[in-house]
Amino acid sequence: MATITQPRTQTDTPAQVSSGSGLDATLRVVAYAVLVFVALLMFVPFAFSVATSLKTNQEAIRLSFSNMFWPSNPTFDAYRVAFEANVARWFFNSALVAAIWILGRALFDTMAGYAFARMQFPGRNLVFLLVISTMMIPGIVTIIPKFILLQEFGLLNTYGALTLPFLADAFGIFLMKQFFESIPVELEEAARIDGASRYRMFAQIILPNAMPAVTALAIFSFQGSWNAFLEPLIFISGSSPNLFTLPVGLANFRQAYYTEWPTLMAMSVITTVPLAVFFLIFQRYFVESSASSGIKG
Amino acid sequence: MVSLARARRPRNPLAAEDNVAGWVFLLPAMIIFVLFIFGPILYIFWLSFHQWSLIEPAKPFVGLDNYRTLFSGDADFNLALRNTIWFALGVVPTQTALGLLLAVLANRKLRGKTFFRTAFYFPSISSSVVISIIFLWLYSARGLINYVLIQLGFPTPRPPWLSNPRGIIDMGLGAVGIENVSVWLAGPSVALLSIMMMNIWTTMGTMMIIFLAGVQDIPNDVYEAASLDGASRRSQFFDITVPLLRPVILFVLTLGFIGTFQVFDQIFVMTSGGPAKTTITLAYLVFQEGFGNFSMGYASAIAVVLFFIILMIYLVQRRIVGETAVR
Amino acid sequence: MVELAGTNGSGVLSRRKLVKGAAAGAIAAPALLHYGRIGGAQTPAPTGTVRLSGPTASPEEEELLRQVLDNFAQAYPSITVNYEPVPAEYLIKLQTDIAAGNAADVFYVKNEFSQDFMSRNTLLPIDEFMANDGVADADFYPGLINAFKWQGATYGLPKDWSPLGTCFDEQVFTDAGISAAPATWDELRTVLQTLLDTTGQPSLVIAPALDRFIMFLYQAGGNITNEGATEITLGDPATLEALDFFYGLYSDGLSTTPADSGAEWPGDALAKQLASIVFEGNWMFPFLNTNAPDLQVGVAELPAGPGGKGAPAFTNSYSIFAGSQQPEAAWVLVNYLTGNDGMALWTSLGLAMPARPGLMDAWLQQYPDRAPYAAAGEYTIAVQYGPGGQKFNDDANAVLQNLFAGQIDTAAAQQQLVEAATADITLATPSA
Repeated sequence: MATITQPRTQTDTPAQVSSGSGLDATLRVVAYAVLVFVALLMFVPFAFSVATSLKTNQEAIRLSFSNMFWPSNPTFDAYRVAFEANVARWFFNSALVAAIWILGRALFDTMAGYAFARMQFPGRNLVFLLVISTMMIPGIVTIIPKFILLQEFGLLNTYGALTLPFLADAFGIFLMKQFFESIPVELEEAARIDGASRYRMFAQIILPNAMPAVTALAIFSFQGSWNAFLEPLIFISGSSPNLFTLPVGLANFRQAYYTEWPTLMAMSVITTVPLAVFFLIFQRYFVESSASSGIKG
Repeated sequence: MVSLARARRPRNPLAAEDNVAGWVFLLPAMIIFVLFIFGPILYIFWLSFHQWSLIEPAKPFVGLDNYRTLFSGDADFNLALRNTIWFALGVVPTQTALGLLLAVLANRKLRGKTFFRTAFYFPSISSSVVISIIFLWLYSARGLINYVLIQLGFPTPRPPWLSNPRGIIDMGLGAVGIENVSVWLAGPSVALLSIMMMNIWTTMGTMMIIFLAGVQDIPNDVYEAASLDGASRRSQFFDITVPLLRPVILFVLTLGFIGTFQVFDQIFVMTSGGPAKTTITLAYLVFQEGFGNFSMGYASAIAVVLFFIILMIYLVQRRIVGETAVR
Repeated sequence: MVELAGTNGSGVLSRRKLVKGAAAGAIAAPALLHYGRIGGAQTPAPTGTVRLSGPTASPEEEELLRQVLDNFAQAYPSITVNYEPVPAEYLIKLQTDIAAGNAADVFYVKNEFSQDFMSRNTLLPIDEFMANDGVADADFYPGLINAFKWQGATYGLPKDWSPLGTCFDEQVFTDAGISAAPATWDELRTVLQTLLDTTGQPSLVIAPALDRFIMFLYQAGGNITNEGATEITLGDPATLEALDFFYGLYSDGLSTTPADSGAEWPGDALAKQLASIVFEGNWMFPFLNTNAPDLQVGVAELPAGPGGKGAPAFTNSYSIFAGSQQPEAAWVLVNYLTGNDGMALWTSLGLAMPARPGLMDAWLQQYPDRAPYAAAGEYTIAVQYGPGGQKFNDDANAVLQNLFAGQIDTAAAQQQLVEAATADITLATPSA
């Protein structure tokens, strides 16, 4: 996002200090120790939730080192309860909603970001400032006017309410603007000589070249939609449980089972595992693309 | 935030077309913004000069009354401001420092580099509701954290973590015999501290990813030249990495401050502002006044003040980065 | 946005007129509205779709409610009921819906917050409906129906209720040689001391929260406001006495909080055998049946304090949204759900007791061991915090939490409670 004074390196290979140039053994050990410790910190809560999900209620609250990460009598009871809830449907809804957010933002944020980065038109700076300033209002206060609007449009209790208000966002526009400002204009200049219009230029040259940044945008959009809780809770009535997203479904589930840690943890595991698998398969893509894209300037 | 690219941009022969094309490109995003973002926000500004119980249609105009109440020592507002500042001051520098440290470490040629990056990033993609539920369990009186502390012979807080309203500085001073420090000096409560730690745990990975991009951008030859000059690793970090990453650091700090000043979800799911209101943040207060206290007008005024606080932080940061970039 | 009648007292009147007008248009005349109790055979019952909303309950409760609604559908085929449970954050959802004029026709209102809603003309007065259908105040426990009256009008009928009672683990009591539940504050301390000596841990689990502290306040002879809510009475010595006793149990190690015990709430503590005595209501028993089916739990009236017996009651009303387009059909549903048939079926789960004294005998035959709860009906008070109750509730909880964390003493706690009540509660003017 922020521009580094240093011009970017020509090569795209990550800068690394070669191991020959003095990464001494002690430092290496310390580095490993820190990394392993932090990785453990990251995994322990998840491992613990898996272990808890396999326990009985009684065992869950009587913790000891011997049963901390593996129950003495593993049971799948908690999973049976969890599966009886409509998790599959909630998962599907969350995935669908996330896909629509991603598509909308990938297109609309990218277009807007490109306009702000490359085009001169009346009102540009003012509009951009306005867009940026919306990041500073906590979302909760605007929920009432949004709700009333969605009601006017007849969109309450539809997928529209879960997606339409979120098809563009300030952070994404900001991200894309920074990205477009960082890529060389030579590409466009070549197209301009051919007499291409802005629209053709965008579709044929800009968009394909913006893929890394769009991926980063997609990841942030995914996080946003996956975590959205209050809006789906308010915009979808309890009479439409088939439209619940995961967080709402979980909250609903928690109302009934809030004292049963194994059941709650089983639910958490069920909702996290597909995500974890997806993440592990595509992790290189996830991590590398968000690292090597729009985030730098 | 300010980019040099703008200064370098050559004159634009498409200027005439752009007058129209610019707005065409903006149009879809702007429709969403006008309807669902600008409109509602304008409404909030308008509401902040009115009184509204939310469940009555009447919204009488009250001028600056809401703001007057707010600045004339409203106890909840002061408390929320204090909690939010503690939260931001505790979380932002920590997550920034840890993120940077991890990025530098994870960028080295180490075995399993990808594994570590993945591990660190994983919490940021999990659902916040799931994470909150897991941490509720970890922090409970019979949860993992207390158990480990007890087994290792450490004292555990009583009431347990998320139920403990005592200020941590107050507790520290109490331990050396100083009692009754002022509320401001008491520090964040144990409950707030617990949420702060969870927050750092979740966001550290995201910060690492952002830094990783910046670290990778530093050309190799800079380090090579430095090590030829005999610079130690330590001085390489502080004299090369940190200065070159300064804009990224400031960016991460700004993102962090914007995020922490709006912290809401975790509070909402885990503590509802309790115990003893020690986890009420400004964003949570907005919610509570609006929905719990039938004072949407007053809630809107708090939101507006929050807006200006965050705007100020953004502008200050922009100014600092601007100066760096020009230097 | 919301088609409410008005903003002040006169709004109530004009809304009534509106109802009359609508009714006159829909059916012959308001006087003919004789449906409900007998099954709506003589006059055509109103037709339409009625939306019903309340917080999501346990699976058993929801199943039972659907059963009640099925019965309703058979009795009134012309009315379709859309049940819309709210999965979480019921109050937020309700307020958003009301703000948008989109609230369900019939929804639950908790007694603690009913005054907030009644005083803002969000609920439909049902006195005329009641009169037309011969539903009398006397059909309900006065302490319950009064929680839904505001300035002389009725804004909902209680669907069920429960007071707090003393619930104890019979096995633990027997083992400790305790023969009866404590009947007074002094006995309570003695029993808790015995249990502490026997088990080595605090046996009473109770949260530092206003909705539990208030039982001690009542038993000490105190209250938050006087009757009619014209004056804050928390400054009375009874408050300090109640605070001293409540906090004394905790500071002397005789009681503990759910958080300290590692339970989610006192019922959970009892189920997990982290507590052997709790002060809870009927709602706890379905939970215990599921989570600790083998546990033998005895019930007794709450111990009496220096001010005599006192027990807070908790109830929910079915109320009609003031902006409802189907007030007549909504009333038919309310009247069924709070009527003899609907209420008898609904309370058969044992989650709460019937709000109609006339149904109590039959209920007690099903749940004989809950008689102490029913006995509290004579002196129980439906908890009300006055308009502004939600904020006072938050503030008072904060005071009690600070007290339990050792941040303030009981005298300061009383002072802060008075300050919070003075700032938060809108007192009624005596003329009203």
